[in-house]
Amino acid sequence: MKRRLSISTISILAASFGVSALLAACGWMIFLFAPREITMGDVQRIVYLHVAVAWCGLAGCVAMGLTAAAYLARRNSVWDHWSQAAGELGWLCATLTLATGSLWAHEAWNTWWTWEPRLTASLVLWTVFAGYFLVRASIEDAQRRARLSAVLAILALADVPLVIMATRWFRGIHPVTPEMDPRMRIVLLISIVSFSALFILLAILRKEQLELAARVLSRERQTGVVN
Amino acid sequence: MALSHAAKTWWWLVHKDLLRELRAPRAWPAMLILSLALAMVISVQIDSPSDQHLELAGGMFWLAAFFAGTVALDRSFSGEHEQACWQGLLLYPVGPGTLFLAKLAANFLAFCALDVVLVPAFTLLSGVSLFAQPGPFLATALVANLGFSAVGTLVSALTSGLSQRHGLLVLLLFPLVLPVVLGAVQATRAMLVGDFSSWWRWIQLLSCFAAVFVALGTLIFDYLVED
Amino acid sequence: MTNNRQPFLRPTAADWRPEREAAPVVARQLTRAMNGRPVVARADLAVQAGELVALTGANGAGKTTLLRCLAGRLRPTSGEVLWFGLAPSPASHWLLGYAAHEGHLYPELTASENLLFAARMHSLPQPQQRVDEMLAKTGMTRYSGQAAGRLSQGLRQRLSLARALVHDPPIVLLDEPFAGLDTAGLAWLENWLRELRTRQRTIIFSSHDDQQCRALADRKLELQSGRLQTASLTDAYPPARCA
Repeated sequence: MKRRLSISTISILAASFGVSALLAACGWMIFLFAPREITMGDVQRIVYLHVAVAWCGLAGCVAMGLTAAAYLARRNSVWDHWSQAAGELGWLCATLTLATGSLWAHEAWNTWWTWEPRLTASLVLWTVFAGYFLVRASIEDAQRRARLSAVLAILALADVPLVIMATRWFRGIHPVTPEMDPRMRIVLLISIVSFSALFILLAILRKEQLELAARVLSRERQTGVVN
Repeated sequence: MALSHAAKTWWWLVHKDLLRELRAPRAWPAMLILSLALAMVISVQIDSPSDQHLELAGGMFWLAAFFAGTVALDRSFSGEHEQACWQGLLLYPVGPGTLFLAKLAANFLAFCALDVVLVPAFTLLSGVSLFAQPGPFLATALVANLGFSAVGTLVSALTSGLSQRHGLLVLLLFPLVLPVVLGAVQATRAMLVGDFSSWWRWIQLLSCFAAVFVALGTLIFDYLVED
Repeated sequence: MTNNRQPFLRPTAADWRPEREAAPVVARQLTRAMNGRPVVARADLAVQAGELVALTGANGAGKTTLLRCLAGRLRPTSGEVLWFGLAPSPASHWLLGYAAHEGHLYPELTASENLLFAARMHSLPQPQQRVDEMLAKTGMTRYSGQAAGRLSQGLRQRLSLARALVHDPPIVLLDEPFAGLDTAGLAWLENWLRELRTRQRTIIFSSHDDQQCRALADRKLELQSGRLQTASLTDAYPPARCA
């Protein structure tokens, strides 16, 4: 019997191809189109990845908080799945931000770490994401887990702007708007757009995965396979 | 009339917490002794020339105060779970916001009591009189304690029913209160070196933080206490 | 779930009337699930004023969960609970007196202080007077100055009941109220419940003792694996006309 692909599967496949093509183009632009930086040379190209994942990490935190608020308002588990997906990807992006930031800092300032505002804020964000997952892992009941982690996500959302403000006032050696060649700016923008598209695609796939897992668990409980 | 009822019940809730602590002191003695021990340990480790004491005293003081304060925060809700007292509290005609504000006030008073003990101890150990500028120091302590109490009360309520609550409380709390820690330390430093324009900027950040989290806590506490 | 809110403060007896003769306690298709499994499944019940209803069932049947749902402490997974036609909320908690086997007593505070705290939380006009009355009623006047944590289990149970009823609520929910009471205590509680029934209070209590339920209750609701086995007896009473 022939099985037809559903519309959603076709859409996901098309989106995946599109994002892959975008990332491939972005990669070409980073390594072949963007000019070589005078001071740091090719190492400077880390910035295109660093800024993109930093942006995605912050966007992940915002998305996690907003979908958490939606869950508390609607009590629909779909919003909790979105929140978890955004949190997981946000944490991954925060990790990459710290890693790429350290690599860049080592080349630029000859140190793996410094307490400059954005790295500090990224570390705080990473720790908040880690706390969010620890809370989720501590609670077995799905509704209670969704509710408490939603509250934490909202606290994090309210806190992050204050963290950024405080760390900027505290220190200020990180380049906020560095001087850039126009081609570099274009590549930076393409990089942010590409990684944002990847973030959205992965969030959709992860959310679908979480929903499927929840449905399977519900079915297993109904049939008495698991408690 | 509803406001009068809320105010009265708020007062009796705070009264109840203070009376319990007076009758069977568990949190305050541990908190005060821990703060003195921390102050001693930090002072011994930082063996700096005396002209740097003004720069470092604020950091030493607030680190000892905030870490010791977590003892009171931990006890804040764990003490209510004995005899299911917390369930009993939720059955009174009291809004969740009032419950939050009462716990916040009790924690705030605990931190103020901690400061009263720690300031003279610190003056002795560091040789820096934090109370040389009483007005600015009082203002700093009040807004810093308020912000710390607000977030601490929320995080304590969130973690109180969880299996790993002790570790989670500290892990979740300190990234979220980084603006308070930075703000209190920098405001104290600025006050001690006579830079009052910088002091005022940090006080504004602390006030903003406290206002945001007191308001947010009053609104979302309902979601933390429901079952 | 309906979300009507009553005025925050209890109104005076003169200006408060039940909504359109709605039953004091109604549950419709009440379900509460944990980890996807129903602990209470589609419970329907209506309890009228002046009724004393016993809730029975084996350990783990869901009695405490059902009572907590009726008390508004647990949010139903589906279905609804209504008090006099309105959804429970903190503003309407003055309608309810709930006592659980844990007691809800602060061990460091004296018996008198525990009751005084409860009276003040309900904004009673003369709290100390009411506390003295409740202490006399429960036979605990001579223990009034003793810390609740040092009382025997039977005395703590009496104090817990006094705390739950200090504000004379129209709805009384009691979870295992007879546990820990001696013979004299049992007799005292039975008399008190009968007196509350005479005063048109709505009382639901859970118990393992079938004989006690037969002697005391007007009707019995039995829970088996989360399902109320006794059919809703609303045909014996006028259907609740709720919003």
